[in-house]
Amino acid sequence: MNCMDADRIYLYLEEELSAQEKDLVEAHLLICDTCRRAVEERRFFLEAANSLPKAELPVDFSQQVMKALPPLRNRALGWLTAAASTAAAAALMWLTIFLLTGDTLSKSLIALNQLLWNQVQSFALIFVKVFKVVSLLLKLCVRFSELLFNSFTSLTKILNPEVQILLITLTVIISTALFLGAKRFIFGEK
Amino acid sequence: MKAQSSFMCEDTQLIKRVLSGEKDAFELIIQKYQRSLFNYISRTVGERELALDFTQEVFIKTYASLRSFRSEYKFTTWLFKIASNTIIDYWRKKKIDTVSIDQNRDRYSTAPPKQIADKGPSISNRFEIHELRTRIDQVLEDIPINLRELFVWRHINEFSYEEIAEIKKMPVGTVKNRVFQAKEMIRRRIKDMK
Repeated sequence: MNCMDADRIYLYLEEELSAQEKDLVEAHLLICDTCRRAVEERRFFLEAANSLPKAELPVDFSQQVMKALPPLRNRALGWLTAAASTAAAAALMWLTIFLLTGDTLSKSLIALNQLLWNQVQSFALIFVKVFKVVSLLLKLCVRFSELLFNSFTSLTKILNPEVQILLITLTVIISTALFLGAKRFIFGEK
Repeated sequence: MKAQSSFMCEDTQLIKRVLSGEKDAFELIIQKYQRSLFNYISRTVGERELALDFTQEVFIKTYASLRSFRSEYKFTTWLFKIASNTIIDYWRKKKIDTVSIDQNRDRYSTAPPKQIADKGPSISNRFEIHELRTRIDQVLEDIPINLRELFVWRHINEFSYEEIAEIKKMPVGTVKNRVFQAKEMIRRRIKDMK
């Protein structure tokens, strides 16, 4: 075994070596003065390092820390705060309405209810119109796909398989070209 | 191992009590860890008053984020990680290089780090053990913070290399290597003292 480096000496002194490695080190120490001196030097150093004096704290340290602790964040408290804020905002709104119109709470609520109902009615009308347009578009799409499917079925009955493959390939190529052309037309050159 | 798991269980129980509203249970946690935490902090920042402030700050941070503690981890590891981050932030603000160990090795050591034979008389011939302890404490303040904290954890807090590796999220081999590097740096500087 060659002479040991400092890391190996510390591993040996701190009993971090395997039994086999430890035996090798001890056999080497019997024949090497330099390593023996190096080990003793580090052993003395470690003895001092492991017995460094401990610093002491003031007796009332933990009490001082306890006084300085902030309130612990509470999840339930967070929800309660949110609910309380909403209630406060509603109360503030009612107070503003009351101050502006002079109405009582029940009158304000009825007025608010009517306002909301009017909004719902107008929104419902718009919703019905949008629904009609969307269903019409869907019907058109269905008709178009049916037409496409029927023509494709008729074609497969009339044409032989080779021509069908040729036609499908041509369709794919033309569609891709059209798609890429449309993309370039919309988004411009890149 | 059995004692360690019972310690972990005890910590978890204390934390549960604190979280259920029993604030005073946190004082038991403080009393249990204040000395080891203060010893780590005072040896990494140097000044006693500053160390007291930092120790308090670390406990406050720990308390404030207690809900994010996961019981499958060791409380000590978590506590010392918070402490380490606080100290590293402090040194960063002071604009002291805490990053390059290799640069510091060059800066602080004149001889190749792995060489075992030194010139001159050995420290055991020059110093009594109590004198050597004082010298170690003096030199400790001059070595880079990232080596210093590993040395303190190993020799003052008596943490295992595995525990240090868990706190610093480093491989155990790297931790060992750096602790040995710190020891050699301190030892050589003491030898160079007149």
